[in-house]
Amino acid sequence: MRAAMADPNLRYSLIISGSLHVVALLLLYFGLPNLFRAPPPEQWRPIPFEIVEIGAITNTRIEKEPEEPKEPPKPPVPKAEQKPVKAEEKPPEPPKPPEPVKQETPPEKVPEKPAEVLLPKPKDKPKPPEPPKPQAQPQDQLASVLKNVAKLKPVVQAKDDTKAPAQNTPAPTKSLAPSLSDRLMISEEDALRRQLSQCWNMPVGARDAENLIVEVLITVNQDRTVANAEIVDRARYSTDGFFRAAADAAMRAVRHPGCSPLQLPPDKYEQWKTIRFFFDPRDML
Amino acid sequence: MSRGQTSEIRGQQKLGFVLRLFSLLLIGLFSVLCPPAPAHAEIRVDITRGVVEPIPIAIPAFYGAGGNEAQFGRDIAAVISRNLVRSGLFSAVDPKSFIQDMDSLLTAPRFADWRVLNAQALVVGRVEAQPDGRLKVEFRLWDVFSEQQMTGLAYFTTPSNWRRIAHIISDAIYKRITGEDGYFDTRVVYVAESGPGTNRVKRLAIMDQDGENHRILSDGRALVLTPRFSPTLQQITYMAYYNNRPRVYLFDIDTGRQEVLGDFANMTFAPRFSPDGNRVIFSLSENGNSNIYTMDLRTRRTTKLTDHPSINTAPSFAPDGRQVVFESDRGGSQQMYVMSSNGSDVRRISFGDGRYATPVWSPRGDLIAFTKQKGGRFYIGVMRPDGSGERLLSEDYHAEGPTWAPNGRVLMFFKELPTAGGKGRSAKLYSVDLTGYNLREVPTPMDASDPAWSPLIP
Repeated sequence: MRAAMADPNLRYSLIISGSLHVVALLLLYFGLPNLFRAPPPEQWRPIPFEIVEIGAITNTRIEKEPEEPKEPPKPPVPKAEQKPVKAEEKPPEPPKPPEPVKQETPPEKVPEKPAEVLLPKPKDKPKPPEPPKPQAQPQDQLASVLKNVAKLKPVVQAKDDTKAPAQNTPAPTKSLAPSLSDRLMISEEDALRRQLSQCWNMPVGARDAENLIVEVLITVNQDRTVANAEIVDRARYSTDGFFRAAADAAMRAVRHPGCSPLQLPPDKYEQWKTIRFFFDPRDML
Repeated sequence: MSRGQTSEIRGQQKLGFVLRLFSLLLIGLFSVLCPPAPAHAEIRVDITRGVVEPIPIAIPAFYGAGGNEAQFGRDIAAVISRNLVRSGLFSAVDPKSFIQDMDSLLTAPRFADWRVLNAQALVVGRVEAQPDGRLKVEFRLWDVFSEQQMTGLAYFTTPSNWRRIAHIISDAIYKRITGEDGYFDTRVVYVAESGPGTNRVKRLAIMDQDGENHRILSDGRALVLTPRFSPTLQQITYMAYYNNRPRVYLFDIDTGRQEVLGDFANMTFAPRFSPDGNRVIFSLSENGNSNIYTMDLRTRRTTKLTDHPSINTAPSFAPDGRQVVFESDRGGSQQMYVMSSNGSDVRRISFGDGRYATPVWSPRGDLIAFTKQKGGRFYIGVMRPDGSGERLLSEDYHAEGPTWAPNGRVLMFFKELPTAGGKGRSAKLYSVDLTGYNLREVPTPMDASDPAWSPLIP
């Protein structure tokens, strides 16, 4: 050390070394001076967008709330397009449920002790026919198909909270994405969806019905009838009775005479000759 | 290394390079010609809503060659049809509209004929008298749209047993189409009430789930309350007051054997069975409070589960036997709580307005049924075991005592209404699907309360 201090040459280089170190440290701390870099380019943030063709008449998710109109428009379409067979089939259906009820009750009562107190029966009887489904369905289309006699505020709110986002967020992305590549208009896809909804009897009361999502792959003939339909998850079909029942229900929807021919644009055969349906009851529970 | 060797290596390297280039080209070509997703990718369509309506099913009279067999065939088909329609999940196609006759139906259904009638399922059956006097009853269930057989079974039985066969076939059809076990081959025990309000006679009665085979089991000298079915055996517990002294009985329906489980002066509801049928669970009151106990039916040893200075009553086991739901006022109002079956880990599950009572855990495990009182009205409701998803299925002047069908799909309970004169009350049984639809009166020859649904008859 003493030698270094003594040697002027060494002292000089020490000063240089020290000051260079300081400069290096300063550079490290503040970063290199921005001498040559061009002004920062504008940040190009990719904005995802999808090209969606919208037909003159469309039926996007926005129409979620006024659901009821969805039903009425449907019947005229099949009637116009389809054979008269279906129109004939429908009328006999509604009158049926009440009939068996009537048949059923008297025979059961007659054989049993008629002498007993039977006073309130005539009054009570009119009640059972009241709850049949037809009435309740239109209201239910809005949210859950499960019935709740009380308008319980906390319960109803809780349901709406979970349901509203569930319906609004995932559904559009699912349905929009494919139509981008397939160029099937939203209105056309909606028409198909609406048509199938009329033919699909949902497994609402089943245990864990929310997990009974059935994927059905169909190939379609040029005349828009279903050529072939198959359950994708064959393994689960053969092992899980609940899934099998749900899958059968989905297959019945696809093969329902009321849903044949499928409502598809005749001129776009190439785009719809195979369709992958997902029957998913979650939103209605 | 000689010159020749090096040039050979160089040549190999060159060849390797060319090969590599070629394979790269090939890969490139493949990826261009065979894109991972075909250009005309299939459409994906999510069907997130549908209809909830009964499935139209056609059930022609089962074929029988002789007059007797034909009569059985008609009766069996009628019972099946009534069962399925009563479930609310099926509607029967009117037999008058059938196109295909029975003879040709036995060889093969003409599905087009059934599609026209809008039938989605078709049941074809036949009854055959056997040389030994028994009946052979066989049926096939067809899916009309896919033209496939869904199931087909045959049974042999004594002719007097035809009604049970009809119920068993109903269960098989129901199970194949809905995925759930059936509940038609079951019975219901209830309290048959008669007489004026001041001197009401309450007797134990039993009937098939469809109201047939009605029998009164007790003579009416004792006041009978809250019968409960064992989930495994055709065995019930109930309470009876002889001379104002309550006693708990264990009654075997098939043998008619009855035994006293004990004198419990301080018991208000009959015990409920554990899922394995080996224990019962009940509450006993002590100094204005009550606590929950279990009793082993073989050793008759009791174990205390709760020890809390409040009312803890109406316990019901979960189907796995690991948890118990009960009602308690420990939090200030009458609410439902769940605890593990050793009495630990108590947590409240009901938080709505009003008072909750008589919780019953579904045999399916996914729901708890209860009676709720709010604003002077009674409700029968269900909620999940964690307390979420509360739904009220019925609202009445007075309704109580829900009991589950063994498949956990249907509930039965009783309603009390003031009679026309306003002096007395009439009580009736009702059933409702857990979706809240298909509320129906269960016809009984006299007033009825406190129903208890049996397991499937073994």
